[in-house]
Amino acid sequence: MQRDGRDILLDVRDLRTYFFTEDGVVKAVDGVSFHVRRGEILGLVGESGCGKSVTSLSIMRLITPPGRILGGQVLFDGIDLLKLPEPEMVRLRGSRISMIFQQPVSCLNPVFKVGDQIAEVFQVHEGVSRVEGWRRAVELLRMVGIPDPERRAHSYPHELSGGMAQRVMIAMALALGPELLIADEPTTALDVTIQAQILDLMRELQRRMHTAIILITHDMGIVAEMCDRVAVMYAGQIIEEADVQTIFTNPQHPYTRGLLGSIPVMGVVRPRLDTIPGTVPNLINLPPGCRFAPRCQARLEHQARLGNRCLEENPPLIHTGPGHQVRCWLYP
Amino acid sequence: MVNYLIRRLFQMMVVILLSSMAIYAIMNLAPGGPLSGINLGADRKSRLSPEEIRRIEEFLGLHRPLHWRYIVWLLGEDWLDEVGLKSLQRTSCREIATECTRGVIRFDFGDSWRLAAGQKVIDLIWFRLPNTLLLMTSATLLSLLVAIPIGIYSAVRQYSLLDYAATTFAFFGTAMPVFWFGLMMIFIFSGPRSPWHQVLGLPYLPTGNNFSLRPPQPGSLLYVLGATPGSPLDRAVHLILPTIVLSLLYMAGWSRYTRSSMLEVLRQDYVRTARAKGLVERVVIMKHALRNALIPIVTILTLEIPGIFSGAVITETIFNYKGMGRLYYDALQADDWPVVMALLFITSLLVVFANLLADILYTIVDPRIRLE
Repeated sequence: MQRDGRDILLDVRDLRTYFFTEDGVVKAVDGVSFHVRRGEILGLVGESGCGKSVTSLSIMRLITPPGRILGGQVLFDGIDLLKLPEPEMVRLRGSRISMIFQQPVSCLNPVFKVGDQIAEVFQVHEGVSRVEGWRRAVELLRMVGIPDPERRAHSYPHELSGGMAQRVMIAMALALGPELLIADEPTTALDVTIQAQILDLMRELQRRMHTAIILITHDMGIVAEMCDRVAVMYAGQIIEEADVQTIFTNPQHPYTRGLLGSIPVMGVVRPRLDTIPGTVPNLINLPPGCRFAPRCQARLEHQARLGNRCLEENPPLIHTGPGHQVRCWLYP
Repeated sequence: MVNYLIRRLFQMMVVILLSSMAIYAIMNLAPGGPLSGINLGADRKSRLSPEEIRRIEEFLGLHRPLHWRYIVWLLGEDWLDEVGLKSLQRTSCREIATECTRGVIRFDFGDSWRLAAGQKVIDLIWFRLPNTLLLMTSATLLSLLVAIPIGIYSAVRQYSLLDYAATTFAFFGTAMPVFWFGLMMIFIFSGPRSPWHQVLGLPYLPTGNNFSLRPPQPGSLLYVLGATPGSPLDRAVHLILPTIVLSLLYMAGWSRYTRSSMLEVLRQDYVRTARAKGLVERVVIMKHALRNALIPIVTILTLEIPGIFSGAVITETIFNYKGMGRLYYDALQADDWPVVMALLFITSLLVVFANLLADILYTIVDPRIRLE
């Protein structure tokens, strides 16, 4: 796979976003690189607090103080978003790149009708009238499967269920047919049955509009169902990247294997699911070596070969196969 | 909603009744009584004898037991005649007045005892009210006009230099006693001998009152503007200092309310959504955030309504401004109980109604709130 091929829509290179808090510098995103092709769904996977959301907000340039993007490049269709003047970035948000979030109800403004909130996207980006914006908002609500959209457009967010609110958010995000949709745990706050509906809706619209999606999740089940490729994040870094088949059949990083071991497999009876011992390291005082080393079982098993390298030196991200990269001293 | 309002109206009636009891009890249980000061400062010749004092007590109905006095104050005396209890009426009602009082429940607050003896209390209030409304609305509007933008800026640029300056100013405004600050303002800006006039040579302001009685003196702002005594311009110039003193006090509070409300809102997910859909920061702040941040501000503002009617006691007193606050102060000084109790009762009514209004307004500004 050529990283600079014409089908690359988003190319994130060595992105670093730190938060300058009173307790110290939190290195939430520390040298993250990955790319998204046009029309594909990339899963961004990892435990809570590993930097997935900060990565996505950095792409949108929506990091607020004390957070700051320190370096790297975010090449979107060949343009470095991090160097783009703010007015042009504003024009891009919501039209070519949009985003949906985890808590759909609290993401909608409680004092405005949902119809107006969707119409606002058309008003701001296309300069249409409120009436025209409203008409198109109703059409969008119909498209995302909201029954009785004319009446629903008059609802306030608190009158909607979580699933309905997420449909509204999706309608708002896809209003102008963006090339990239960043979905930050879009179904985590929803009931399981609603989750499936929302994911179906996203996939259907993605196929119809040929939108690329970065799907942030910690649910490997959703990854298997939705994604073309997967990037696994750990403590602010990408530790493995591969297409979805490879990730499930040949996971290489001990952390990825741990993640996969912690999901139940149909038909396989196990007394208990595997867990990864320990917790994500404090992002202020990171261990000097591999960030996963303190929790790594494989490190102990291969101690003879690796020595103390894992604890002393952070491994680079290396290619181990076509489109398969891993950050671990076990390879090659 | 209708059910809720009916229930609220019943509750309000109970609260008003209880507060009327409290007002009456507090005034009447205070030691001394209204006539205790009657001989203060009187020389031997004009001193009133105990018999004369007793006659005044009977005239005012003060010799009756507390509960009868309360009932008469609340419900009036005109009906006592019809139910055959004419003897309970005050002497003043039976023998002098052509009409007996109708009680505060029917907005008859009786006659003033001393401030404007014999005049109806309600007339006194109607006379003072416009002055206070003018002062309080200008102070409130001025303070909101300045404080809300400051509050927004302080929240958006939290910990900036201007935020620190506004915070310092707010603490100063809250901590500073109005009687001292008012006097300082008079000292600096008022009268021909003020530093404002003496040192800087700028036209000085009036020291107090609502309007001038004499033509303006050379060197005063009134003279410069050519204001004729009693004209609207004359009154406006007299409003300047009390308005500024009150505004600074209110500004301190309003800017803090706005700042904290705005800070709370700026953290919300929907503000991030507004940015993510491509709104410029100005629209994010002034539409999506401010609309939500103003919800608590509207509520607090509504609860300030009683204050707009009852006035600012200290400021009006310092500036000798003839408003409701000054009336209250003078009535307390003069033991003019009908006036004092009328003002307290009206204020308690306004507090109760302002609370209801705040709740109703809340449902309008925040669609999430429904009155059940």
